[in-house]
Amino acid sequence: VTTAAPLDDVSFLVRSAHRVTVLQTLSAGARSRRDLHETTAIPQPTLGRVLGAFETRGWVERRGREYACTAFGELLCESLRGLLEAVGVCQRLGDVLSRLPADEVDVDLRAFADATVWEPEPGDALAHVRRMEEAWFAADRTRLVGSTLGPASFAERREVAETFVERGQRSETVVSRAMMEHGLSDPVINEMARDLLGDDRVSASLYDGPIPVVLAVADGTAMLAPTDDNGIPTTVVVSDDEDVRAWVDARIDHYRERATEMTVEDVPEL
Amino acid sequence: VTAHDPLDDVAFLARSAHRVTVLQTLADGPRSRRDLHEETGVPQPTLGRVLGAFEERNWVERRGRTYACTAFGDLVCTSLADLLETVETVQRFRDVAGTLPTEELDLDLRALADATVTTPTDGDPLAHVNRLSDVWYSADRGVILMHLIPPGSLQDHEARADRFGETEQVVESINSAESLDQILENPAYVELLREGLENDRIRIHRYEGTIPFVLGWADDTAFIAPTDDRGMPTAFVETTDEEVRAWVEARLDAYREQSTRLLPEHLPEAPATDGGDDS
Repeated sequence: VTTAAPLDDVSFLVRSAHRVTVLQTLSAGARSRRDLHETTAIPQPTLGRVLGAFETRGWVERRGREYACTAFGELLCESLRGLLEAVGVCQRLGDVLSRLPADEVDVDLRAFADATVWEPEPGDALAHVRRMEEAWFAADRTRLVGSTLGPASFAERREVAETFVERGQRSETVVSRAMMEHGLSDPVINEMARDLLGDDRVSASLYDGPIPVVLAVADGTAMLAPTDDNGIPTTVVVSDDEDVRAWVDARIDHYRERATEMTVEDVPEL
Repeated sequence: VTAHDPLDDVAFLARSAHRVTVLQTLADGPRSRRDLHEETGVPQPTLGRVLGAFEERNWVERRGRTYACTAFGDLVCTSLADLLETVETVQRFRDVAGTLPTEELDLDLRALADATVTTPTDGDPLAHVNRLSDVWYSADRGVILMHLIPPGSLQDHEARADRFGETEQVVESINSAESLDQILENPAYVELLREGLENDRIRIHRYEGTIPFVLGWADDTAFIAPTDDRGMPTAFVETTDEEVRAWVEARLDAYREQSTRLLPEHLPEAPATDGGDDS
């Protein structure tokens, strides 16, 4: 029996969804051919050919009335899963993350395997921004790097800020000067900021360079959003993965280290 | 944005060796289209289509006059390389895949990527057994676990014992009780063992349970041989990988702990040399 080039076997496997399904199903546990047929709905003749080809390659073996993955078949299934996961992450997040500057994405992209993407929705163009804000305000501990305020009236902002003070939330923000000046142009919020900046629950820093992304951590959840030229998030990538959060935390640290910590004196006089 | 099945993109990539080559080359570093053409030999029109399809998938991006892998392209390339390496290993083990004691093989099979597999062939049905003998008898140090009397005639064993006597070799074997009893029943074998046991250059342990494979190491080589029900090896797998070696040693330690050491005084009495004692 001659052996094909490895790429030939990979190609053989992946060009049929049936084959991948059979391998994945057997990797989850041994099954009779009948059972396999009922679980996968693959026609019996096809199943026969697939199992025969897999046996020849040492991926599956017969154990009495059942077919089972060999240890090598399982290894193959695991390696294939890695490739499918890599391609899947790229399919879901490629458009979003490739809009980030390259040096913003120095994390193992596989960590994004479980990430979700919030996008503008038809009829609700700010759906993704609102969800981001909701997550942010619901958290006890938040960190944020950003260059623009989210959409809200000053009345709403006051309410949110008051709730924030009452609930004892902690926050750390790194913002653009424009965002800070705009946010503190409301007399009530300006007054609250004066009180809060003396408190170690709240820290705010001013970053003078361009901020091409919104980075936020709300308790265990990390969010990152590329922005358009006006600083408006175009999509939000949300992940509870620890590596993603650690990376977003590190990026926020990066901005904070290059920013100037605000004191009460920096709060604009109205 | 429509959701694609990742399998479609994997199949798209794996269907064409050209595509794989282009991705691998760009993962190695950015190239102009001309360089890419010269390096890979992929025809220009094909190259244009491949690069376009890769750009669409965010695997590759243009940077001025060059094309470069994105972080995603790098990830896809690494993951494909891992899959190809796995398949290559799986292909090498194809003939023994079903016979290796996988329940016992609590070992990351990736560690076997560099292993060599010897199987019986048409003109040489003992190729694997001979390979085992070559590896074992040429080593200065070794430990072996087996349910088998080493192959060869008595003359072969005597010749081996003579050579052993002239070297500094030190070996240890963990034998099934059945195989050890058969050795000890044969006075000729006992005499070949006696000196080695007495000067501690041969250590033998008796294991009462089932030994479903041959396992051991000889100098830098770790080996495992699946066996049939009678203990006959059906293939021979050898590697110098350190992870496999550590695993083999740990397995051997576990068997040794369950075994009883055979000491010189356990050997049957040597037959009288003058033939005077007829009982």
